[in-house]
Amino acid sequence: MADDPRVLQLLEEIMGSGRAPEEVCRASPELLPIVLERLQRLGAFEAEIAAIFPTHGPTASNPGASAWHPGADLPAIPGYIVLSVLGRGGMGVVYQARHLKLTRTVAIKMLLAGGFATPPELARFMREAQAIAVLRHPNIVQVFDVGDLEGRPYFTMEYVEGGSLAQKLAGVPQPARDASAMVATLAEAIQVAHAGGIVHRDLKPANILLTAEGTPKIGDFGLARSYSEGSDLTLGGTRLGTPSYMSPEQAIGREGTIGPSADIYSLGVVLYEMLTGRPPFKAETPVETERQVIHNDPPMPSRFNAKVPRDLETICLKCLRKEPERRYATAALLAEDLRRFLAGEPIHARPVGIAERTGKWVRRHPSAAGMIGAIALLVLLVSASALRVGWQRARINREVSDDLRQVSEFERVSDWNGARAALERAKGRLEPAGPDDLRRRARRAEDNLTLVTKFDRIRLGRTRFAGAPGQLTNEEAAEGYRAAFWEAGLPDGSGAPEDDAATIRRLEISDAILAAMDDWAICSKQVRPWVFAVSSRLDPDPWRVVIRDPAVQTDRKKLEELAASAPVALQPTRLLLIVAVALRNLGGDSTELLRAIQRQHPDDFWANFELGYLLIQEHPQDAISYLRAATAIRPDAASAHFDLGMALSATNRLSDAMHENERVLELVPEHIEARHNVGVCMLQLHRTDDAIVQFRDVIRRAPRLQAAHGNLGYAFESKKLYAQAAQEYREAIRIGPDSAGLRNNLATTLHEMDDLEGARGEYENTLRLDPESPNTHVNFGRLLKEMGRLREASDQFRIVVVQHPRSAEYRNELRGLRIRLGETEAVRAEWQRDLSSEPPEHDAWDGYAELCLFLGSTNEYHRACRELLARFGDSTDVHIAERTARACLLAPAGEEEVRSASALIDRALATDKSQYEDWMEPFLRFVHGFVEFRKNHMEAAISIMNGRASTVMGPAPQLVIAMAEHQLGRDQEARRALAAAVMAFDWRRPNADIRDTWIYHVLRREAEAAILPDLPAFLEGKYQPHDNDERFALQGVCQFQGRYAASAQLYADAFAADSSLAEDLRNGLRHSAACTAALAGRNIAQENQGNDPKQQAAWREQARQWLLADALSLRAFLRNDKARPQVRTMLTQWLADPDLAGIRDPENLCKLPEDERAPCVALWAQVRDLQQASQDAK
Amino acid sequence: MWLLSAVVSGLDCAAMGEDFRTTAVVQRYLNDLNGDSPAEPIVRDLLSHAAGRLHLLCVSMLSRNYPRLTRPPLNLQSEEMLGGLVERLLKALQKTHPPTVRQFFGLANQHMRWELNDLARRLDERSHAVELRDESVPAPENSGSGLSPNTRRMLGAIESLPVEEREAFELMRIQGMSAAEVAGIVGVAERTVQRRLNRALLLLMGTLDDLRPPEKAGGRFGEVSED
Repeated sequence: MADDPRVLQLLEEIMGSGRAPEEVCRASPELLPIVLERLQRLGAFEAEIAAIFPTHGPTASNPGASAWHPGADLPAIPGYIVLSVLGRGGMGVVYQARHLKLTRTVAIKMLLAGGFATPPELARFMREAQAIAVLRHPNIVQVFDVGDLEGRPYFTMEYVEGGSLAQKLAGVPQPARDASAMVATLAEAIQVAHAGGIVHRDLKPANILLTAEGTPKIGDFGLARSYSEGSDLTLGGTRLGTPSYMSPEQAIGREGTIGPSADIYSLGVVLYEMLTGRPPFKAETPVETERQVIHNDPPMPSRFNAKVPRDLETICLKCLRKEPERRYATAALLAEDLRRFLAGEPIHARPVGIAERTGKWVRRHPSAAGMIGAIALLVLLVSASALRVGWQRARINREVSDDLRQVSEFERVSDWNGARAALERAKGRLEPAGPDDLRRRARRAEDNLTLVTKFDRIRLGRTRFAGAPGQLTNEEAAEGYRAAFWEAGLPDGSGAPEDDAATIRRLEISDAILAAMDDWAICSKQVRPWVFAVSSRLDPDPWRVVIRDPAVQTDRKKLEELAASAPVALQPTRLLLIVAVALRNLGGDSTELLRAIQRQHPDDFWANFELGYLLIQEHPQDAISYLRAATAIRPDAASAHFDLGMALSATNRLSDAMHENERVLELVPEHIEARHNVGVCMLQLHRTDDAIVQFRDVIRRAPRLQAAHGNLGYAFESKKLYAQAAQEYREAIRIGPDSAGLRNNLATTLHEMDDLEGARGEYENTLRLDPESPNTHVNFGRLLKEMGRLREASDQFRIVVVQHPRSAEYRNELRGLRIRLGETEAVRAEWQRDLSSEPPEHDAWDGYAELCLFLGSTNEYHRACRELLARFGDSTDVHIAERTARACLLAPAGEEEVRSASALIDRALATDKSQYEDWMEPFLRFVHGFVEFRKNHMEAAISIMNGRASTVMGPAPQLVIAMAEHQLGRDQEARRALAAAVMAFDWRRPNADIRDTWIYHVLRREAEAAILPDLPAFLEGKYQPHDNDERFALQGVCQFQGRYAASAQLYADAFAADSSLAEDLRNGLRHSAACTAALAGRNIAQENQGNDPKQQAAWREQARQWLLADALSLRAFLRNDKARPQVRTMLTQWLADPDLAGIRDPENLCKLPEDERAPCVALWAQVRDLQQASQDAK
Repeated sequence: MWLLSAVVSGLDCAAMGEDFRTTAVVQRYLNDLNGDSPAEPIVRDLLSHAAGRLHLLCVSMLSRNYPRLTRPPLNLQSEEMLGGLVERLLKALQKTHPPTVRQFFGLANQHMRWELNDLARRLDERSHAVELRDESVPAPENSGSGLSPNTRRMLGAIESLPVEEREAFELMRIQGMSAAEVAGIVGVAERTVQRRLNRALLLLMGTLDDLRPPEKAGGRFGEVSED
């Protein structure tokens, strides 16, 4: 793992200081993703190490037993650092861990995989865990998050550090008041869970955790038990769980009937144990304990502790009744009775009456009870049951009343699940009949609940993005409010404010209605005056009246003043947020106010949500923290998950982002933005195929979502499916024609499809829309170059060079273009000027010396070499060493230069190969061979150049070999090597536009001067070469100087000397000859000035003949399946080759003498025919 | 041979407690040991601590990396693998008389590493044999992790840690000491010990990065197929 040393340092810092990664990486945020990734790996690695080298635990007293535990390692849970094992149970392991983002310590319970065999069970676990995560109560261990690690579900929860009640009790009876206060608190907490439809099922002192201050928190909410039912409950043959705390119905195993009353039973056991120091039933074996739980009556607590007050004993025993319906009906009632006891008031529970106790006695001792006794009992029982009916009805009424009160309490804290559960419970109790007034109240409560949940949905569903299906625009939201008000028979803005205020004031849910009105006012300007008029009557608080004033809401200055002086601690968050949001919508900065609100109300969903949203762009890291908090508070808030996804994307945590978007879709399947963003994440994760499926799905649902078309296009483009990509881009552009990015992408796609004109048009469009568009100038410039529009291309690159002043690559591309345009000397002079500012980077210098030498400025070349050596002679960078040495060796040099270059390359060669890329090796070899050549070690040079060096630097290695052979006096070999080198490259002048080509030309000239003594005479037309090696060797200079006629003549002579050369299609010589002849025959005035037109016509004819001969030969290959594609490619090239344009393209043919046109047309007709045949033949 | 009998009879050093933490006390007894004074219980505890740790490390290695060896047909029990190892360790520690506590543990660590390596090598051989025999039978699902040279690579990587980092790592992870104890023995601040241990972990992670397959959960690795 080749890590940036900074990463290592940051990791050490985080490990050493315990500070949050975000904080430590503040100075170098770009490293945060890799640091987080390393931290996660570190967790996993630690676990791996800890499995072999455990940190602590039993040293040796009983090593076998503990170490044999399977899965002793710490798991790597994404987003957390797992610190240690807190405990193990039958169902799983609890770890202590640190949340990486929120930097809080949490406990993570991970369930053992074995009990969760089937996907439905897992899904059920997830559902219920999420339901529990919704529970928020100071006496319930908060569940934050639910996840799944390699099939093992886990959830994270509040870490409570003070141990459990079991540890605290340790068999010692507690004072009665302490015990009753504690159980009352627990019962109130359990009531909240029951109201949310959740039953604990495993309440016992070990599951009641204590904070450092001694506050009890109920943990381990029924998860394990409820999920393991029906699956294997045993480990080593013993039943798990603690029968002492189990209700009789659980002990019997009547699973369907286990409800809230089971928890009330368990609370009774806890109370019993706190009072007496022991649970009511505790036998030698679990089986015996279970039997007692089912059959025996609990011993009176006063038997073990005489100080237990009578009333408390009654309360306790009422909880422990065998029949669930005889216990307290709700945990709230238990709490209430305990509170009454604590306050010294009479309790509701009645001691078990004489009749009942007698009845039980009779049941247990049937033989001992005489007939007479039975008759006497009958009398008693009849009257008792009559009494009970009346008493029961009163109780039900009271309970329904309680339930309904709870509904509105839950509504106040936006706990819709809780409210719904309480309401359902009340309705259930009222069935099939109940007092009319209660039934009316229940109906009203239901209507109210429906209404406030509707309000909540509107507020939460209100989008910030225009036109996104699955979300509401402000207009739609306003319309939603209007409709909801109207349907509920509420004032809807049309009446007199005084009357409306009076109407609303009378309603139970006037607060919720006021809140909805405030939000309505945000969505709709029209309704604001009415809302203001009504709300200032309903809620005349002076500050709030100002806030609601429509004039204030559009007055940025006033809002800024209000924001600066907002009484954050005194006013409700809802109205504070109105100020912040209004200010933000007017373009003001509401960050400070939002931060203050969030600080004041860290548990408020909206405070976290709005602040998180505001920070997504500028501080995504902070945004993640707040949005995480928001999703923890309201896991059902799709918008919060969606925003969180965006913030995660912004920090490149794509998997997490994708997960959040998937959560959104679970909650709001029609949320199209989220669906789209899932695709974007897939795209960025290189899951291109998945992304294509996803975007297609998005488009099916929302055909006019421009981004989806654009991204689908991008996905196709990255799969090289250009036609489809272009189609999607075009569709996206049709929807929104003003996107420069889309047009740029379309242009690159068209370029890939060889639609050069189309690409040019789109690049022009792109730059019209956004003249600064990154990379467009580069791509456009390259396209223009490809189209031969060198002047326009260089214009583009001039802009690029201004945009990227430090890029040597673009600067060199511009230089190359200008050289092709013939501005070579100007390029050199400007380069020299650029270098006078002494740039430190080697890139800026690279190539200058070579260009000087190519242009014949030998003095400037030597000066440049001295500069290079002075600057980079000590470089340890292998690339710089290689280039510097090569540049300095290019001209035959003094010993000093050769020594410096030699030292450089020796050092580079001695560098460990792992320090540079594999492809560098042959380049180093080439320079090594070059050094040997300059040192006159000719054999060594030849041997090196024939090795791996021969694979790089084009004709250069062969040129060096040719010169070395010449030095060794082997002239024939030298000429042959030179011929081979020359024929391997296109030496025409415009091609000499980059560094390496300058090197080739310089070496060619050196080799020609050495090996071809008759070159000057040949150029003067006074010398004819003797053999084909010499003829080919002379081609280089002819090409460079544009002497096409001479070149074509050399070919003709060569073919005359050896006809097999022309016939061999593989070497392509006859085709090259044809191109050269065609060039020689071009009747362009300035090019072949003074040439004899007849001579030119002759070359044109020669070109046609050579091409025709090649075409005939190619025809023979049409039957060959393997060769046919190659034939097709070659013919396609013929049809496009600019060298042949003079005898092919109509605009040139029309300038030729009439008698020449027909043979040309015939030739190309034959070529096209052949091309067609190569396609058809199958 | 008082030592061996102490060790074999149950490796009872759970009660090392306070004395063990007090470097000065250990040092005094080490001095005594070198001076051929009668062996004291503290020294016995010291040595049996090392033996106990070795036992624990061997057991966790066996259970973690070679679970198939512990199942039929081999039913390998830790004890039968370990007797010899512990004996050799104690002999080695007894023979050389390290002058300081720090050197004592340095030596103990080295020997323990050697013994672990030896055990891992032998387990690998046996595991390989099991593997061959099992070829015809479908392997139980979770036996895959069995055959691996992880432990030996880990030991090798520990060996090549810089001296200070290695010492911190070995004292804490091989001897199972707390940072405070290590600080006392090495004579540096507790924070320094923790820093060295952290660094050791990071260095080890760098060396052994391929040990653990990359996270599947995030989909960040291994799924990049195109481009």
